[in-house]
Amino acid sequence: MVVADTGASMRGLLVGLGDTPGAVARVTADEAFAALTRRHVDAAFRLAWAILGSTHDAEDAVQDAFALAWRKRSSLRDPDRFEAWFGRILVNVCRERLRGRARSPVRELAVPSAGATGDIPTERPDTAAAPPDVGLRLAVGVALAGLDADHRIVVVLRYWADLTVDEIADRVGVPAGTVKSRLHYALRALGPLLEDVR
Amino acid sequence: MTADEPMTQQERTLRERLQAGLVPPSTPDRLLLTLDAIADHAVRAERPRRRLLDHAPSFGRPGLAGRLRVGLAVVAAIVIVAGALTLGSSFWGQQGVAATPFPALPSAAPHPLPMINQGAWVSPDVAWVEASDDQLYLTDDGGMTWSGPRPLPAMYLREIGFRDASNGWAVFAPQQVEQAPVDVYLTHDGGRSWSKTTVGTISSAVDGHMVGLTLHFSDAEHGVVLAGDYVSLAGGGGMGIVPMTCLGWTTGDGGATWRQLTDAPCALHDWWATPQVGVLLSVETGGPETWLTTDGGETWTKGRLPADMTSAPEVLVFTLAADGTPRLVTAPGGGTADPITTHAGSALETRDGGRTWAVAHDVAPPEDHGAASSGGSAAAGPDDWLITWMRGGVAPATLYETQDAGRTWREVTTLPNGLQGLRWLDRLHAIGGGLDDSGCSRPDATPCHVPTLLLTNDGGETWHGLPIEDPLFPARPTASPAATPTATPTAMPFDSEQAALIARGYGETVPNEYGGVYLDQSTGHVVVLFTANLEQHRQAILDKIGASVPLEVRQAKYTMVKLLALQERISSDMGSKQPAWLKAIPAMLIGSGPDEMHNWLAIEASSANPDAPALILAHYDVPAGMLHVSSDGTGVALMPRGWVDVSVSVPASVTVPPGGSWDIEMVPDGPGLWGGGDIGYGVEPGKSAAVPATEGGWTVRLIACCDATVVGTGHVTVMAGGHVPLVVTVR
Repeated sequence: MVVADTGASMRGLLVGLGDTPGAVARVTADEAFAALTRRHVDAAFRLAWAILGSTHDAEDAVQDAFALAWRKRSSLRDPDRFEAWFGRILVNVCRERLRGRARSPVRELAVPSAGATGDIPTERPDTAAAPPDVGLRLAVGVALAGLDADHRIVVVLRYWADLTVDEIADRVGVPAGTVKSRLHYALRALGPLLEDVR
Repeated sequence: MTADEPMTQQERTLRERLQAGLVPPSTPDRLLLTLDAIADHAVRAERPRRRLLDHAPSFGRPGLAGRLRVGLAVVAAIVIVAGALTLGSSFWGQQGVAATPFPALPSAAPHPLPMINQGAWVSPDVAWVEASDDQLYLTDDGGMTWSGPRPLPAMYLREIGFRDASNGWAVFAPQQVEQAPVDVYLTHDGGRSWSKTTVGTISSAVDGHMVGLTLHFSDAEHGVVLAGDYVSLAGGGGMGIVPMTCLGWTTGDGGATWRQLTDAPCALHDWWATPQVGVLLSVETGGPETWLTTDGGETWTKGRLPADMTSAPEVLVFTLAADGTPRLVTAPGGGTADPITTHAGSALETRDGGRTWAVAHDVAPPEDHGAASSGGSAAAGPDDWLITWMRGGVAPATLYETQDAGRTWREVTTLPNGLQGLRWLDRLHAIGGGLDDSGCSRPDATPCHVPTLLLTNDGGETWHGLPIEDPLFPARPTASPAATPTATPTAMPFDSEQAALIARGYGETVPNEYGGVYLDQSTGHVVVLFTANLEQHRQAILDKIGASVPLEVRQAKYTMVKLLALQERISSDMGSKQPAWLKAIPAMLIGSGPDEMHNWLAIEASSANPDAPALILAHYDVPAGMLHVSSDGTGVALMPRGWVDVSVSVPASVTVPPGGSWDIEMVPDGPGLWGGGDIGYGVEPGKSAAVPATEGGWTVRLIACCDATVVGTGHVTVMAGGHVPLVVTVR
């Protein structure tokens, strides 16, 4: 087991369980970090999917975010702050993907049976014949697709993930006032689009 | 609007509809597998060995950046086998070479080649690769067999390039270090010995910065190294990655001496249409910029892309038209690896030596799969030749070729299942890799993703597969029943660590055949190694741990007893004891321990001598593969050192929460100093932390938990063997 000098408290998560050559029951800081990341995979994927609206993009974003997290893990000084710390990384990655998508718009296909592929359709189909929940999903997808990256992220974080304005400000890295103004704008933009749901 | 602030009716409606309308699908299994692989790879790469010094010195931060340099660039590349092969300097000299048929490869034969990080293919027969075990391997028969391993001379490898089976170059530099040395190593004997030249230093110590490095030799004598400190403006509304500092060096004598470029170009990526003609692309304020060279990197012409490209496009390939006009085949930027497969792009060309670029014609994807597309590595050559692959959704992928720079495409073939990465040597020869999941449909197929090297010598029409070892998916089942993993159809909860301890306990009862045990985190298997009687031992262990535990039994070459005996033999040379032969290198052995996964004894050395790993291996004179030596490449452990006894003074106006502490960051006054190590130190009120550091001046910073704020600084001068007290006042 590696120990720090007297009086020093070791940074991170190093937990030595044995020092026998060949021992396998050893949990290192990295293994602990790995366990931490695994616990958050599902939540990360769900949030990335809600922001990006695509299973494929969400997968990529979560992979990117976890790889970034690995590279930057030395900057995580308090494991209890992992969720917020990783949340910032993930939101940033999603934002970059959305911005990239805006620079080179991809015409996503309208999926007749929404949800079958896991992607959110971004074109409004004829919803008259679709089941109600499909109609809602389609409408939400279309509405979110009309927002730019910054507004879409604050909307999802606030109304889908139920984060407070201060928490969103922390995740996005902007002042709380900016979050509020983005929410205000987004509400105006989304309001009419959601009026005729169902 | 805060947590306590109520929502308006409009907001509540929106919330209700979003939560009902945004219902995520289940997390894909493949994502879980990939993330496990990332974590597992990193954990294994950094698993500590027994250290004989108080802290193993390291130059800069722990070596993850170096280990994962491929994977971090494109995360998926962590599971891309052979995905990062680079083109050798003679790449374009092989046009029109006669096809030499590959011998039939035994598709299920075990092979010692580990997963490939990067490599250089220098002729249809000869290729060098740097594998995931940080060693070099060579093939001189087109990939059918591989020799090695040969240890790298240092850590933090960035690029390698070989001219032939003997002569090669490698460039090394750590990340996130103040004044990081950029070291170019040369070998003239196939990696058995190396000479080192530090061409300069580059700094990227600020969090979020990274070092970009490019190495290119246009012939045996002329080469260029470009280094840059880059920062991502992703969080600041910028345009992505932009350079902060750009440096370059050229050589005209094969790398023996280097001259710094006075006006070095900035770029993260380089593309070469011929050994002499290359282009770089970067983003500056105002839009993307290019640098074009036609003399192998000696001189560069700065230019701009068309004005309507306000963000950096993704460059697919750099090629030359039939009349020699340089052409960049691009697609709109956006973070995808090869967007040509999903988006229409442009072929840009320059007719004024690289100062301006204009659209020559549009480039459309060969097939429209919409957003479901993904693409792979492409290659190009003179005369508007370009080849790439893409898939719509899931595998298999299709290979496409164009002879007119993307105007029209020809479907070449359907690629082997699981292909992830591909590099072309010329129009006939390509080497690639992937995870063959063709066996995954079998209920007992765990692990079922078999890392495979793929080879073609007829322009992609036919492919040959060669299974390779992969630390992410080790211990593939062999034909031997003894090595077949045992997995129950209905998984029962089990404690894998407890099972591993039981297996080890059993193994130690048969010391003459027991080779070690480890947990394979990518599969969840307990893997036990024996040198003989594998089936007998498998049954014996299953009797003790129960059939519900997924168990693999692998063939070992060396028993744990032999590895520990070797460690005992080496222990007298460890640390500051330093016998005369180590002083002569000079080197210090700073850590050692059995590596069960590789079934070898691993030694960590500290030495600036690039030949240190080979010399240490030669000294111990043990059978091949029994000992693995790695070096930090700096010799920092040999430097005289002392300690800074850091304590804090907390003014009455500052409130410290119970249990509060501050992290200590050591910032050297100049390059080449070492302090703190890779553990990290903290200090609490009323206590003192002794932080080791080499001789020289140091600024000591106190860092507040969680937000990385510097709350106090001090400066000391460290003398060898001494303790320097330092009291830092918290602001």
